[in-house]
Amino acid sequence: MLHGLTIALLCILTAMVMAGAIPLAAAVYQFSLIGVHGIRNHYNDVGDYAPRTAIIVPAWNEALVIAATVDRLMSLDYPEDCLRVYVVDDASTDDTPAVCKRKELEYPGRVFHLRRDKGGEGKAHTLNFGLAVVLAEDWCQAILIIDADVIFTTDSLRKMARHLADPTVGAVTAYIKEGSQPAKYMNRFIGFEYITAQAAARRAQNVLGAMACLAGGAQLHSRESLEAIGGRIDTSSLAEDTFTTFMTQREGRKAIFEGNAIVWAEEPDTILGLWKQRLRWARGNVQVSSRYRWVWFRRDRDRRLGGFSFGVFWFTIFLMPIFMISASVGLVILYFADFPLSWELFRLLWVINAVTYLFITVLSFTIDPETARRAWFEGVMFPGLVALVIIVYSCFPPLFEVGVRGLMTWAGAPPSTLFIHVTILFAYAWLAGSMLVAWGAKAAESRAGLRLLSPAMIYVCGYGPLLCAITFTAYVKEARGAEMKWDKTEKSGKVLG
Amino acid sequence: MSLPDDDRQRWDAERELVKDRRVERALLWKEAAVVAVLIALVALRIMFAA
Repeated sequence: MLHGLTIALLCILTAMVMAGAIPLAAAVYQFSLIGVHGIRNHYNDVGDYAPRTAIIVPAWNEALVIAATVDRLMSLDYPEDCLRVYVVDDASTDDTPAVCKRKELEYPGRVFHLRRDKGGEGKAHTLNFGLAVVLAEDWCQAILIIDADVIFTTDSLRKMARHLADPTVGAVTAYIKEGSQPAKYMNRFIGFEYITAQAAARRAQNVLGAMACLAGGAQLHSRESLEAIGGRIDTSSLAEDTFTTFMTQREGRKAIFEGNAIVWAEEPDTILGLWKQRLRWARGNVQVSSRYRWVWFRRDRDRRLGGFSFGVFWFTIFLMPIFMISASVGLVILYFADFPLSWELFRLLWVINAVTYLFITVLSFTIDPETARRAWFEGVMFPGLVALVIIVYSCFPPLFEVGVRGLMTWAGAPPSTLFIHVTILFAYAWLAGSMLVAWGAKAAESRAGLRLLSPAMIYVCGYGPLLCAITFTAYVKEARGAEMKWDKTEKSGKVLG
Repeated sequence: MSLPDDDRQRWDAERELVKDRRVERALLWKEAAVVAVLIALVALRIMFAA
């Protein structure tokens, strides 16, 4: 009886540890679909199509960036009579109204300034104000929803619009690239992250025929599609763009990612800025996961969103902190229960980690060499310095077992048994511990005396664990029913385009 | 800031499509190359371990 219980406990602990490999396996599967996108894509169904497009730009205190954005939109390589810009001024208190009025005069009949008297309700409300005006007229055939700070490359709209030649396509999104100049370390981390999360992941989603999210800064909708979902953007959540994406697909239309349409955006350059932005996104994802609970893994309910692969991709990202904590807790308990087993599982988990890391990092660099040149160091350091050391150890144990031990002995401080076991426990706990360090980095950044330490802490713990820490905070906030507050990301016009 | 009409004619749908298809197909070969290198590295590691 006792023997049976022990075996059952060891099996549970082994499963807990190997749960840490689930997101890795899913990532390898997702990245392996990128090559398939070379053959299976939407290019066979595109046409030379330039629908009359209304661009809706929600703007709240965007005086620093809005003039450049409008000018860039007016210089898009797109038929002049097929393009109108509607700046929806969300009761700005800075110079935004004056700048918009100037632009309205500069581009008569092509740029329109719409003013909300009551603002601050969030982007979705602002967009709905603009949509009501645009859809009340017959003029537009397509609606492009963007952010006030993004810079569209000249051919990006043409590249997106050609997909709407296929009437089964409801919406198209572009590849948003981090374009801050000068770029701080956080901008470079985000730049690399966007290769993996957009250029790579969304190509894989194109292959599956199910899109997780049309980027809020660049989503082109056909008029029919937008009207089919009620002509409005969901205002009940913090992830209005993901809800729009899901609703579009639930109505039976495709959502397409156009990876060759490039849009530059300014992203946060501090941990606090990133935390604010991503907490909103992560809480939105919790809300989406809950609202569509009857769709996940149920192809009979929804052929696209209910697919197994799509569900796996969504939930491995969504539950990443749980997998990391599970692996660490399993390893630490096994350390005391069955050390040899814990050691084998630890090695196996980190060898899988090493192969995944190499595959994803190198492939990401080849997908977007331009960003890779800018952010190669952050790409390499994405899992963090400690994780890299563990990866190297798991692939080349003698390097440490002989090399480091020899070096320490030579230095007159040979590693004691206690030192070795504390180090092992530290390595076992690191997957969960890295998130704690990320929290520490956020706390350090908000204290004047420790601010300089925070970038170093992120390089040590990794950008991936930082995102996991934010996701975990989102679970807690949603579980507590925290207030849904629209915290706007500050923009300063650092994207030069 | 608007482009002159001549510049607006630059868009060539067919040429852009050919170019973008080439970019996507290249990803297939890039992925194959990365996988081949990874397999070679793993094989080397196993060989040396043995």
